[in-house]
Amino acid sequence: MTPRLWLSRSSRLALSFAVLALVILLALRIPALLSAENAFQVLRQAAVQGIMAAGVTFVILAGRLDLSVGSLLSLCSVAAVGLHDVVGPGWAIAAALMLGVVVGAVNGLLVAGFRLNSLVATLGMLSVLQGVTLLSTGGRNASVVNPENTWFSWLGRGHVLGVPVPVVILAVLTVVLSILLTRTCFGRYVRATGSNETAARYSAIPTRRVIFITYLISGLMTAVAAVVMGSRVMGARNDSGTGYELTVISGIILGGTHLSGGCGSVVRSVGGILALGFIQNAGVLLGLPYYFQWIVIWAVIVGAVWVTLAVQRRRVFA
Amino acid sequence: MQRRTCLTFFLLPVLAYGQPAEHIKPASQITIGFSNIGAGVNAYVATYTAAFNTYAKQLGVRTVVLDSQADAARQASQIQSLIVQQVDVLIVWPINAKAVVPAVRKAHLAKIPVVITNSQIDPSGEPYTAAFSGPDDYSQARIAAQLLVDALKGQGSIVILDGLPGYTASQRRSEGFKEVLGHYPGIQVLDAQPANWSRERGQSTMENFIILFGRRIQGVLSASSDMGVGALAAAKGAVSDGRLSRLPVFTDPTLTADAYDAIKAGDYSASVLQSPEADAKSALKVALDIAQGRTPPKKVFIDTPAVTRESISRLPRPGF
Repeated sequence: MTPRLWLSRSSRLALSFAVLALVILLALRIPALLSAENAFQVLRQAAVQGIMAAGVTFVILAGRLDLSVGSLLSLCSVAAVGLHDVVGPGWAIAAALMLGVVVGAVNGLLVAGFRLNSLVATLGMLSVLQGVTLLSTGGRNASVVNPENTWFSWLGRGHVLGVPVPVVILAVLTVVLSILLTRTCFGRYVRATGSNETAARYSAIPTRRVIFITYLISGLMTAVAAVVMGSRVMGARNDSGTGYELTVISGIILGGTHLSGGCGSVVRSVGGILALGFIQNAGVLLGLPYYFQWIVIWAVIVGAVWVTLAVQRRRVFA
Repeated sequence: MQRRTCLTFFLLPVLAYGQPAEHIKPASQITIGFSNIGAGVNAYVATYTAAFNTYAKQLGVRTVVLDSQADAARQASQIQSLIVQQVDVLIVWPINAKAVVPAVRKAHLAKIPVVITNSQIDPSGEPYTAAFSGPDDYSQARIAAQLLVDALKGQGSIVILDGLPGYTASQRRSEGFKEVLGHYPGIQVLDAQPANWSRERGQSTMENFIILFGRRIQGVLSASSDMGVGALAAAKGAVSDGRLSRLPVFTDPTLTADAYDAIKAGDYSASVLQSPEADAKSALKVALDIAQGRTPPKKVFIDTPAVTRESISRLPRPGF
């Protein structure tokens, strides 16, 4: 094991310990934090971002960014909810998922095909999708007229053996994507492309196709998250997903994935999102003013990055 | 000497005719500029904008509608461009009561009358405006709070869902709530959190409240119907899980289609009708009156009646 690999592994461990320690400290202070009722609620509320994070992790591991996921979440949830009364829940869900894959494909084409800078391309897509959502709704909200009489609501509000369905969906997808990342050739290709794209290309890895597929995954997962969110709320606004891309990426960073790509894991990204959810929830349970939560999240993320760097460089101040 | 005589000859006819006689400009020659808050902000604005355009066509006036997309700085520059276009009357829907004052002052100095619609301007800007037309957020909020107090018979603990912080409407509604609740010491406010006009945030904030306060929540006062309906969904889930013994009383100051359905179904208690169509029509009427030389009252409030389970059957379902 090379020294460099050991350092980055120990810095990731340090980060995980620091985050866990924070959550445990909070739980000691607020006994209700880890009660079954509260924990399930936090999980259910964080499930949407967790599903998105599982998909976006692939893009980041391949060394790219996807900032359009927030607007895509709005668009797909508007599609799913808006079409529910027109073509029925089944076709509405299918349409939303198709939309996610199509947008992912366009992102993939721009970044992998035309080799555009991923930050710029997906930032542009963020605005385009917002515009498309506004145009299609004319500013009005989408909602389901009879929320009680449809199986669509089970996805966001139902329970399986006492566990909320969004949490079950999150768990299943995390396991599936984690297996995809760690146990398949494709997963290895993704990490290789992210660590050193030139070396990967010279090793006969089809890097452009790999990056394209990561964007498909990101789009599809965002669409799934949108269906879950639409089902939970039984309504959708044009700006339902605004700002989600920032929380998703924050959670991924908190989970120890480097933004430069190459190393990271789906499980830890989802863990980062859940940790953020618990920390925010702790703020609410402590009765902190609403604005305080933003400062807390900032502090947590800066702290996370600092811990990673400090352990890596073996110095507190680099 | 000759030049001065020539000039005098030129000037005489002009002086003889003097000022043009007082005449009312026909609607077709009037241009009304409208600095909109942004049709994408929420469904209310979208419905207002559509009604505005339809009614303007009916009246036959020309309109220039600019969408500032909830950006106060963009609104200021758009008002400036409407001034340059020399519109006859300017209708402004302020995003922020204070931030819009300098631009409105510029319009006033350029002798363009300004009509403020829906959200009131800061009092420091009122001397520069010709009139205000719209709902009164403050009194609507008072009606909603009073409906809740009446339903709880003056005793009980409630939670409040506020609108997006920083918006004039949020502040005024919050003040309206506090003013009424202050008269009833038997009503205890457990907590007040912003839910950003969003149904999803209303739902998750209510879920947090239920964890924090459980069965102590007897009433929910939301600054908008969207958040109220989200909170209702959370409460229904909690009732079916047994975490709440029964549904709390829900009221809010602005009726939407979903709240209408909920009131009819009996889950939601009451709301207040604020019609975006009436809002738009009132603004256009006031603007047209000013352009045609009439002087409407300085503040024209649209009618915002309370909507309860008893009166709901007489109302049509809102379109948003």
